[in-house]
Amino acid sequence: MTLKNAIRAVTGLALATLGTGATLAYFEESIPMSLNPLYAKTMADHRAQELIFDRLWFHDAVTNELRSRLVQKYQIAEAGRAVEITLNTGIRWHNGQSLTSKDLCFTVKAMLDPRTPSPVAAHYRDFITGCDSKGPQVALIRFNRVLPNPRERLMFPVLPASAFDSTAISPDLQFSARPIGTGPFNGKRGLRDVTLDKFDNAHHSPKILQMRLQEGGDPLVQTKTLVNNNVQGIVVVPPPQRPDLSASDDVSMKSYDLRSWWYIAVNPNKPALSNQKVRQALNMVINRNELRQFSIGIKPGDKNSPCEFISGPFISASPYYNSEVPTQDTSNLAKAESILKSAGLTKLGSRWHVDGQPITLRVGMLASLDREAPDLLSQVANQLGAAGFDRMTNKISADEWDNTVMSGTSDFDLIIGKWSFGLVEEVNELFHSKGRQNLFNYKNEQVDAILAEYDDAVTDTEQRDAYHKLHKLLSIDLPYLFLWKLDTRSAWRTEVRGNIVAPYYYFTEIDSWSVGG
Amino acid sequence: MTALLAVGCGGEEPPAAPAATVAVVDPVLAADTWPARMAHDDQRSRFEQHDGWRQVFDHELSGALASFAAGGDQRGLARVHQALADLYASAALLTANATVEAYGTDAQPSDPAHMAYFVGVSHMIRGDHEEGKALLKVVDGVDALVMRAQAWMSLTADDASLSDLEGITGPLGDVQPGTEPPVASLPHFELTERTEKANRLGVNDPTALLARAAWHRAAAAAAAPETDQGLQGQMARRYAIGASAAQTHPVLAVDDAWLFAGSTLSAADAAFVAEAAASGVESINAWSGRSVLAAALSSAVVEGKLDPQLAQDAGFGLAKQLSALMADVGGGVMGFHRPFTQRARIAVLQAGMIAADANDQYRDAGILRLNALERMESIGIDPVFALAVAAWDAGNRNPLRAEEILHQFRASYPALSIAKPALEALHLRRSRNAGPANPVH
Amino acid sequence: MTRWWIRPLVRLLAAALLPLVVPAVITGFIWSLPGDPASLICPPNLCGGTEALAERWNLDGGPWQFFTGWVGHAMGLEFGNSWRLHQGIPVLDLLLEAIPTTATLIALATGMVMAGAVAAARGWLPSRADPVLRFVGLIPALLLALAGAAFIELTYGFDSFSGDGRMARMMVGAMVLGLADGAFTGAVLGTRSTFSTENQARYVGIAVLRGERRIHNTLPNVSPALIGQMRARIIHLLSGAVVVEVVLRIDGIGDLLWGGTLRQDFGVVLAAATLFAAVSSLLLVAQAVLETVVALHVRRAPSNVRLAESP
Repeated sequence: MTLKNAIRAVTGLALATLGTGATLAYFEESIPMSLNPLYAKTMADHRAQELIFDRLWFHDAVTNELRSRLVQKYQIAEAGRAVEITLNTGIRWHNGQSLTSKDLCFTVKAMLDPRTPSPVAAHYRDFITGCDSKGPQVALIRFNRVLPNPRERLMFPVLPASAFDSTAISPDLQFSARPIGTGPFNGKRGLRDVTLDKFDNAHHSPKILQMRLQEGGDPLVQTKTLVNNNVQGIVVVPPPQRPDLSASDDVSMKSYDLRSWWYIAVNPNKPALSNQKVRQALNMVINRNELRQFSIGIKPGDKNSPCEFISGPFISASPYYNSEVPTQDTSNLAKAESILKSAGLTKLGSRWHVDGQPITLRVGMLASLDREAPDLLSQVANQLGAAGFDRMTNKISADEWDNTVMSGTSDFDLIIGKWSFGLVEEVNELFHSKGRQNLFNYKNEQVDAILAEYDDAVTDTEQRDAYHKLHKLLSIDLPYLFLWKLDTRSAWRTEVRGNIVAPYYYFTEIDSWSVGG
Repeated sequence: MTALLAVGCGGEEPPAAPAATVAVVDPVLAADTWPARMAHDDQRSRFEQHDGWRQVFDHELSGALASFAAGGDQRGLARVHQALADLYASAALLTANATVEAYGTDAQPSDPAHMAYFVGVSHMIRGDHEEGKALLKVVDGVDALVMRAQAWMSLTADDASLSDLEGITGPLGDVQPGTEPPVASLPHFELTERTEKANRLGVNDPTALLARAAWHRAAAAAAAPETDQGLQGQMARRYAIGASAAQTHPVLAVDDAWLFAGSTLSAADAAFVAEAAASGVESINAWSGRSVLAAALSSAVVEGKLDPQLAQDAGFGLAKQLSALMADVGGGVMGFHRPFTQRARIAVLQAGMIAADANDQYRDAGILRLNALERMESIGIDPVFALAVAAWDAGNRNPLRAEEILHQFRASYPALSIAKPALEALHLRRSRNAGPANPVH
Repeated sequence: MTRWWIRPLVRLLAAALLPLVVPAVITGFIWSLPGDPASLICPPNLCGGTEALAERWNLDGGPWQFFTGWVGHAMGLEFGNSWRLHQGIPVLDLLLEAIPTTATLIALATGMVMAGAVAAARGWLPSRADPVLRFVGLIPALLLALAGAAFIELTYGFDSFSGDGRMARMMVGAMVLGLADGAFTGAVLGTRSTFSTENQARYVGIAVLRGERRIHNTLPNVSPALIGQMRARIIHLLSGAVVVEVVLRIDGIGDLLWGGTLRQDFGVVLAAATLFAAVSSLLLVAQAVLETVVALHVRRAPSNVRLAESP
């Protein structure tokens, strides 16, 4: 009994404050651009929206069990082409109204409405055909085909019908800044932060009174702020900061399961870069070992490295990764030079020229990535310079990224970026000539054919084989110079307890989080 | 300091001296743990003089096997073989779980006709004997599979001997401590999908991993002195893949070779963990006076349940207490103290996980499991525990973390590649049925 | 100068037109960009259905329809919601939050500059301090603002946008704005130079011999010049506020204008730029009124002075 008391003495202060709740402040990669789930573009958007909305179904962050906080029961209907969903009663929206089947059907109809210009919704139009309200709490969602396990596909957040005038949901509605959900927190986006206030509900009882998120600045400042207890968490901790935080008893490092890989996208519409051989030579110019060492601080041979080179658009642990395609770890300048010469480029002095003009490469990088991989942009530029290319570097703001890079209208020659995935690692949108996320409007008929093969695959092994082929082809054609996968780690003060981090969505289990002494 | 400490501690700066610490367990129990005892230079010197122990400390089992094979510490050799046995047993369970989920739960009409054998064996390994046998009975068409299925009909994963398993997968060679059986070429079988294209699908038999585990267990027994046989059985309960029958375990004499750098902190902990695997929280109460792990966890038992948050607090408290104790012994805080006490902290989480699992607290056990894995990242991940987590994940139909773990250790332990196709299949099937998702920047 | 009223009148006319010209120019600029405006705001490959957006944002009927629609709504203080910068937040809310911030910032900085001018006029700041002032005046606003931002971030961390942190940002911002780019230095040296030139005029010497104070004689004559200088300085502070607000992350009009331009959030840009234009208009009106008052004052015949009769 004495021992039990002793343990509780160690943790007593923390426990004593559990019931009262507290404020939790944390640094995000960026401030969410929109709190409307239909317009989530960044991981910061997804994470913040998880606090405000309930997805129809979700996976338990610990046991991976398929669960729902909204659905009381469901049954497959119309021979597998529909699912009848009965919603729980007593669930309230943040505006006080009750959740009903009308809200669920409104969400479905909004996603199906062509006047809702949402890339998220576009994917649901591929298999959902409609929704009918069968009673106050009962809705029937119809599909265009038989789905083996419809629940796995119905993980969209539910929106309140009462907050909209029509099913045409535009990104600039006030809902994007002051959303109404059924989630554990009522969120409000400010100019510099997002404030999330606890909202008790029949299905949520968060222990934290208020959460506040801000965009993290310099990683060192973030780290110091965390250690000094001026903030309770950092969602993404860059590798160089991890050892210091790991060694602190006041901070816990948390794994965040997110499949992220880094790349240098090459603009094939530029005269020099349209030549596949030039892209191949650039791939050999890049010394990934040095880039990794100087920007992330990981030396070749380091144990348990969070950063591993890749040769294609998947992380090495993925079933889609073609392990027969080797990675290019170091540079081979002699070979690169011979390829460039065979591609018709000439070296005058120490500079490469095409059609008599010196080649100047405009290299850009999403500015926020500079926190995770400091100086990567200048390191890449240095390597290109050493290989005989003039270069200009730009850090691309989130705005410019969205305006020009994502819309395929940027004028850069090379762009350094990162893509993140969850369970689904589809890359069709990145490399298909009509892909929504095809950064430089890359076009290759063979690639399109392979992606069609992937889409038409009857079995999952056919899909895997298609992506293996894609990996191999991309490693030759090189619309991207593939760099590495980089694990994501968060850091939270030890006063933050019960902080289970869900894969991808992060805050799925926020109800169990608390802040103590 | 010697090589062990220089390497093991990764050149960390010595942390500041601990503040006044509350004793969370009886100081006598704390003093009996290996971290506390290893604070004494003379006790630690044995482990600093053999390269194999540095490798055990760094969780490099293959390297440690080679080092111990050169001689110098038979118990060290036995311990490494025991760890490899646990590693491959977990890998067998990982394969079995992934196979059942991919080809059983998510079976497709296009699956090859002979998948029944692999799903059946997987059920047997998981301990679902009735489902397993029902499937094994219907295996036909491929002689090799029919023969294997028949052999399995009279076995269970728990009691299958090395010779039984070798009878199914083929001989692994004489059991010679200090060596590793060769890895057969993969895949074990190529089956044809029932589609127009009739693609070939590589499939591996998890029995091969089970056989490999049995081989290493036999090698451990051969390497260790005969007096350690009982203890080996007790230690093996930690990662045993079958259901444990509740039984009492005595406290056996334990050489430090079985404890150093591991999750069993004292002799009584070995008995406690073996009992907890079957009896759950009850054993915490029963052992709290003798086992330091049980004593630490006793404060986390609330109304017959283990509270995972309190268990984490208990781990933190014990690490602090040991840190203070080691500082007293060593005359100050030294660089190796933190990695040692962190292992004690993780040991509490792992013991809590085992007890919670046996107490029908599946999710709570999962929380502790994932916390233990996270804590390991700062001091080095134990491949045996990581594979056990991967197996658990596959059983939960979560292939992502399992894939990462398998990928991380496949280069060091090539036989783990046997688990890859089933895990891949699980991922592919779940991904195919999942909701839409865009790449996000 | 018999037509003294022309200059104030031109200023009043400019003041009346400026709030209309600025949005008109921006509208023209929007339509001069390649591609249709709705696609610029939300590229079709990302958004799909941009026709619906064009209709919603009144971009589907050409520049005239957009301009007149915007002006019509703006008269009723209806600016719509931010399209991209702070998606979904009403632009009016953004302005209402930003106006007091920028006003405070400018007021504090103007206070500093005015104090310098008064001190120079009264001779409180000795000429030997000029080299120091000239050196301070050379420091660019960007440099000072960056140093200030680093100080704030390190000192206040997560709380740097609320409470004391916010106040510190304002104070540092005002100091940067007041000191950098020669604002304070220019006010001191400019005022001193104006007065010293005027002090050399003959009438001032005669007035001093009559026992009158210099300033009472010079002030009415230098006022138009000083008012012009002060208006130019406030305009200078307004434009400097953009840099200071952006670097120090102060949520003012300048920051809105900058962010809106970067994100091509034309709704925000139109409103913020028009607000700047309106402030400039107000300053022009103020200048015109003061010029008129001074002109009338100068031309007013003193009641107790009689012209000497010709012999």
